[in-house]
Amino acid sequence: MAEAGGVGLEGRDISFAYGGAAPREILRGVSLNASPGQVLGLLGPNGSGKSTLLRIFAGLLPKYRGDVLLGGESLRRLSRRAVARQLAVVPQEPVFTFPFSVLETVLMGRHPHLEGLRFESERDLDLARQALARCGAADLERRSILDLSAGERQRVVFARALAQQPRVLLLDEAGSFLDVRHQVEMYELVRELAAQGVSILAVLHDLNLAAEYCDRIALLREGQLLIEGPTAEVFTYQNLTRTFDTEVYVDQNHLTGSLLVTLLSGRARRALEASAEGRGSLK
Amino acid sequence: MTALGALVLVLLACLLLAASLGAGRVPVLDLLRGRALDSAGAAILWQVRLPRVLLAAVLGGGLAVAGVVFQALLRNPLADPYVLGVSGGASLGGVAALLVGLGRAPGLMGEIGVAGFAFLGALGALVVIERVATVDGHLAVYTLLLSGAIFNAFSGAVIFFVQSIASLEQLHAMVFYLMGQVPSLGFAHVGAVAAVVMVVCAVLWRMARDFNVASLGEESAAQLGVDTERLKRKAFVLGSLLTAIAVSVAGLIGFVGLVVPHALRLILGPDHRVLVPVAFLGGASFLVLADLMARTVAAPSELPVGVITALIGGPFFLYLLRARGGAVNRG
Amino acid sequence: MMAKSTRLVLASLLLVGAACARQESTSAPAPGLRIVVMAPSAAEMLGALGLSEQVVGIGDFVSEPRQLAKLPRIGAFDAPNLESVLALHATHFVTARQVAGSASLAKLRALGIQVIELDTSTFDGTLLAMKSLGAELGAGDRAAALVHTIENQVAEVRRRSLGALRKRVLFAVGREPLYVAGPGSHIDALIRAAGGENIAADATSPYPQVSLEAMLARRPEVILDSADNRPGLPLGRELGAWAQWPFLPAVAERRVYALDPACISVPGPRLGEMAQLMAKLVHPEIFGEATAEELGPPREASPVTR
Repeated sequence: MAEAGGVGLEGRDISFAYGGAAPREILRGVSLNASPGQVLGLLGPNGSGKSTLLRIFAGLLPKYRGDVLLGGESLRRLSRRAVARQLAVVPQEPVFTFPFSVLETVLMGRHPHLEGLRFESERDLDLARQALARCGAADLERRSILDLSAGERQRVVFARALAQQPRVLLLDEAGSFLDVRHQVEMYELVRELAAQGVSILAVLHDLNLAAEYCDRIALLREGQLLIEGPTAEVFTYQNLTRTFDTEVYVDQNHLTGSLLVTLLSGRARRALEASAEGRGSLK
Repeated sequence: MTALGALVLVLLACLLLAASLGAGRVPVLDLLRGRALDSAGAAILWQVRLPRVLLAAVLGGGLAVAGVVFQALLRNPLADPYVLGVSGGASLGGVAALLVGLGRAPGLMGEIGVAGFAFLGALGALVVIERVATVDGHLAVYTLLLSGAIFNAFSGAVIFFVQSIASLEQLHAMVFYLMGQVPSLGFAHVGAVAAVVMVVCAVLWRMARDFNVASLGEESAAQLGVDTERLKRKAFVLGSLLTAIAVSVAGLIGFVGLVVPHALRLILGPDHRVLVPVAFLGGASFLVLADLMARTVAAPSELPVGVITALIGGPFFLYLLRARGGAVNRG
Repeated sequence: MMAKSTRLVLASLLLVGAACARQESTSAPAPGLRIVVMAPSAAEMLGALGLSEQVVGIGDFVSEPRQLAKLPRIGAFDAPNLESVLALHATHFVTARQVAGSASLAKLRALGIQVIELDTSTFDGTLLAMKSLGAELGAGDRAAALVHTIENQVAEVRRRSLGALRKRVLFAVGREPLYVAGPGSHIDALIRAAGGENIAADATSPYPQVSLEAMLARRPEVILDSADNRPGLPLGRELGAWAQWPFLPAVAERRVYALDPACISVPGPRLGEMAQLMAKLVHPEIFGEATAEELGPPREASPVTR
């Protein structure tokens, strides 16, 4: 599926600790590779180091050990602009200060591609409008970004990332404020981008979204990579239980054949244990 | 860009008006008719009034741009040029110079004395605040805001102390120094101030697109290709420089750096590529008009121009907030 | 901060003057008088009334009469140290009428100390204040005589200058920005008595900040400058910074005088002498040239200190 000429993102043996008197290790020797044309899901419990790893990949945290290669070049040797021309991030909670219009906000995605004081060209405007349209936010174009709901803002920010024309896209729980329909639409778009050769790394919480849309899954726990591989191989009862420290039920979606993970409440677990001893999946 | 052209015309009109009017009547229209002014008229126009009008324009423009820059840097539309402590340092320097008599010492020190010391005070404050707010190699914006506010409070206390031990005439000089007054300097001084202010403003204008992106927060800005550390440091230093120049030359003139950027942002939108030059022109026009009023409404008495800017700026600001639905709070 | 500062200046301007008594009574100097005096003008009045011996404490800005200088200082004009006043066993507390520090005055009254507030903001007020201060302290006759002398001196000046042309006079008390003596100040009254016309007579307050260009446009014929008291600068007929406006009649005719503020800025018993000095400055052709000594003590080229 990987296209020739795609740009990959490769982390090699990354370790990171927050400084201070008692340094706290967040990541230990993580190697991870987002390849062109694929969606790599990064999952793990709270505090496992997912977001830190994502920020290191985005070049926002400079003081790590190991190396990150963007298209084969070390991130440390690339300028912020050079990185931004190839790599975009969709943050979990975007920040806004001034009443820029939605269109202006999306146009900021063109920032790394512009020189000096220049205003955006017709082409930049076209790209921004296309991006808005693909995110189903074309009708918001003239609204002030400060007047939007959290979900609308997330769509605008996703459009901004699209306008950036990235070869690598990092998603930090990007769909968390979206309703079901828009969440599905966004991940459909993610798949489309992957099909166009973009390398995608997505931090996710929703196991079923991950199962449905990710080609590969990496499980992170206490700063270490537990396992990385094709979704179907990684999403096992054992792997998930070990990663999240909680009982899950892994099944198959009868309609699509993809994996279906059910979180088990105490009540459900007791009921299952009582009535379906030996069903296999649980043990 | 039409806004830019319109404001150029507004500024030109303000300059012409301010040059034509004053407490000393000069038949400026005679100049247009090709008649020369008498020696008194010429001296009043060229040596007293015009340098002051031009200085007001330059300082007003600088203050408004400093306001824009600090609002972008702190990501707070209510920031003004005086929040980051530089004004406190400048006031302290100026008042200290008045206390030890430097402002009146004969010779060179006397010539550069008060304004020069105020400027040194401002630079001192800038260095201290920058050091305090630099954590682990990063300029921490919240620490910056906090240390600026505390530095201002501290220098306010020191100024009160200095005033309490000053003689009556020193006290008098200090109070009027702090009150805000556009002086009538020689053309060489005005030219030097204008050159520095306009170069700094031009550099800041070149950074305008970065300021736009910086409003998305540091991480998003970095991720969009902005070297945020460099941007923050440049914005802080250059904005402080503009403030330092204004305060050391003309004392504390309030509201220009707050109201002008804010009003223009409400009218023309937040794009800094437009806002920076337009704020310069708007701030220049505003202070030229305010100084014109300070010079003329109670003639032959003069009013402190800071009083005028506050009297106009305050109500106008409140009106804008009401009329435009309180856009400030929507962040 | 502004409000406080403005208040200080207002108070300080009021302080330059001082006197309007409250009660009328004439008796012998009361025994056991112990006076604390805050305002420079009031201190001069006490000296002229022969009451210097009875003064036990002074305000920070009092410098005349010289013999008082060694007395304990009990604070700035608007912030007397109440404990010090009590420690001096003061019976009377004399100060300029002002807004600031009124709480302290009320406290002093409550403690049984006679508080005398003088309104010296005007020429006539100062004479009135001097009379009532004398009456209050048992020196009423002496005060009346003193005021009589002053009135005679001023009347004499006025009479001799009556026929002369009114000269346009600018009296600067501060520069950059320009501050002048305006309407209501005792200096304004002195200028008029001496046959001059204060070109800032239409300003808004006794010591207003005025527009330089307006003052230039009014072409003063005499400029009296007490603003520039940098050490080392000579007193007398000196153009100083005014030389840059050669079109002014005062500059062309070299009628620009640098004078020490001390010789004219404190209204009080010297008002008569001040009228004579002003007359020499405004109409030297009638009253003769003022000597350098009359314009203030010689200035050493030393740093200014308090």
